[in-house]
Amino acid sequence: MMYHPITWSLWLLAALMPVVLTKNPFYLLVAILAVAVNYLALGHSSPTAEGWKSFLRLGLVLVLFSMAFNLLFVSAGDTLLITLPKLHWSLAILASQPVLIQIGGPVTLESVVYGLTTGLALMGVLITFATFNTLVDHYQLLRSIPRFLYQSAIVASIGITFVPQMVIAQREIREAQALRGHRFRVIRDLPPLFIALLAEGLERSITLAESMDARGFGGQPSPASSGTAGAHTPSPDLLLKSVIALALVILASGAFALSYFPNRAIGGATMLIGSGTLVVALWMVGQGVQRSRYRRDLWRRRDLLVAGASVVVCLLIMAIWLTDRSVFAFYPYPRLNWPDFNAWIGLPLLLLTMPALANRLTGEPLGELAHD
Amino acid sequence: MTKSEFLSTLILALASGLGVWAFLYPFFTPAASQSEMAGMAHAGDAPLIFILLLGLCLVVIVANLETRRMDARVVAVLGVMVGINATLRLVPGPAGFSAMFFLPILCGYAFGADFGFLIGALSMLVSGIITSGMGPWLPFQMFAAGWMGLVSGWLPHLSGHSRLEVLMLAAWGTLCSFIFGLVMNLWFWPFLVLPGGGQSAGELSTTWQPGIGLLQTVVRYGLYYLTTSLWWDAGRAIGNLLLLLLLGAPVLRLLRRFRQRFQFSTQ
Repeated sequence: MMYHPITWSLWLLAALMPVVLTKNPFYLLVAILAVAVNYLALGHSSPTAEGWKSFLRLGLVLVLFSMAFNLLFVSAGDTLLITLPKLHWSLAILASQPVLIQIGGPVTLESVVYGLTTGLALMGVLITFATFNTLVDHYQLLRSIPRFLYQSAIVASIGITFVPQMVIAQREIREAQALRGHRFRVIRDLPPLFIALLAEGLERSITLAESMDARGFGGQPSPASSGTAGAHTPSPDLLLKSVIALALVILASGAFALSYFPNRAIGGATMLIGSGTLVVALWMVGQGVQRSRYRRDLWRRRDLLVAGASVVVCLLIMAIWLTDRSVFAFYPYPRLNWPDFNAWIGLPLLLLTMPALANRLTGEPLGELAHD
Repeated sequence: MTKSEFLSTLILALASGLGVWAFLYPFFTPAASQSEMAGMAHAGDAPLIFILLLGLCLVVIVANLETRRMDARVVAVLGVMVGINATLRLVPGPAGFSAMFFLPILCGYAFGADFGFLIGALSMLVSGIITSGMGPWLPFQMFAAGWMGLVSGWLPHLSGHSRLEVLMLAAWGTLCSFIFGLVMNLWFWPFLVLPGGGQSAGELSTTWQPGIGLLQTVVRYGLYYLTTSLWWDAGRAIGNLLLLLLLGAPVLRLLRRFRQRFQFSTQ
């Protein structure tokens, strides 16, 4: 509706990178506020705006939980605030490594701050996804799924379309059964409602399948892959499958190296090679799929602005993370120190507000609902 | 088994193994040789890498199942089933219970493992979309629910003994509810990193610490699970048990009749 689905995906990636990679509360706050601006500017008209608030509530609960958790269970740190009554005991499940459990004891400023930053990072992830969920058009998103997954995208679209239909069907069945004297009181009264609903759904799916067939769904433009003509030449399908399997083996050995060797560069590089091969192979699988579309998503000037801003944020975060990731680290123990704030990192994060600004900058009208 | 089928099975096994690894990575970190600061710096990026890895594995499995080129009937039935299953999640239940598991289990059992995987995974996707509940947990949910449907297709077929069949499926559903809870905590459990938890004495030990070794991790996670999520999972397990006992036999009868009536084949 507002932006191209690719634009939104890039923005999601850009917004997630700072909140996942940094523990520095200042950068976290800037990123969260920048993300929230988009919801405040664009989200009111969305039918799922209620979902945003429930994510916010969940985020607040997590912040509080994380703080309470640290308060009660961690007594590291130098700045003592108060001392709570202490409970502790030791579990000797493994004789060699007794597990110590302690609740209460000294409460330090450091543990409060640490809990707060951990909670803030989780909050950032939640708010980013909540904003994405509210603002993106899900049908458009499913339509732009890569071609090798097109069948799943169709299944998911059918599923989404059927949910309201099934809710209505369920109400009708319930009314019909009520007329016949059925009352829903205990769980044992469920089968007459549910079985009828399921049967109804299956009937509708047959109708749907017939209309899909009539419109040429699943037609095979090239008979080469059907197996009768090219039975002796190895089909490209077989080759691609072997490449995918090989890529998975590379990926697995990379993951193994990452988990067992202290030097993470080898594992990381192997995993990159494996996933690169995999992506190329999957893309080639998609090349064999022919799809026609009724509507094309428009790529407008404002998409260029948002996508550009997202790429800038991604590159910046990536560059810092690869060169000096201690910039993002924040570790209050043993004594709380004021976290650094570098405006050259903080200010570019404000580029994440671009979805809220881009249409004003380009002067293009928002929300062309008639188009969709 | 043709070469193509063999490769498909191989891809499924490899991608699933990698996915399971991504779930369980907190248990397999290198032993505590790093300094604490280095450990903390990596604690942030490891979850990210493994969420991405899990997403990639999921895509590979789904794409692999799709190469069989489902016809319009399978696509339509899958879509409708996914829709029904997502509707079931909207029905509020006591204590976070959701009735999302019994349909993938029954469909996987009746229509085969591939169908089971797709209905489990895609139901999670669709219900995530309609409830605006997409988040970093989505790949984990899709993977876990998909596997549940997949394994349901591998259960022994006891179509002669309908009572025994329902009992087996109900037991499997109960087990699934617990396993689902057990593995679903893992996506955020490593986020609850407490500093100094392993090194200094007198700390709570239910949180993850990079490099504490396998045994210590298992014990800590066990404690965490027992004290937090077990009670929710128990509620979900009882709900699923009841639903499967009540609806198992009639739903299976309906699905099999449907298959006969429309010469519907999923393999």
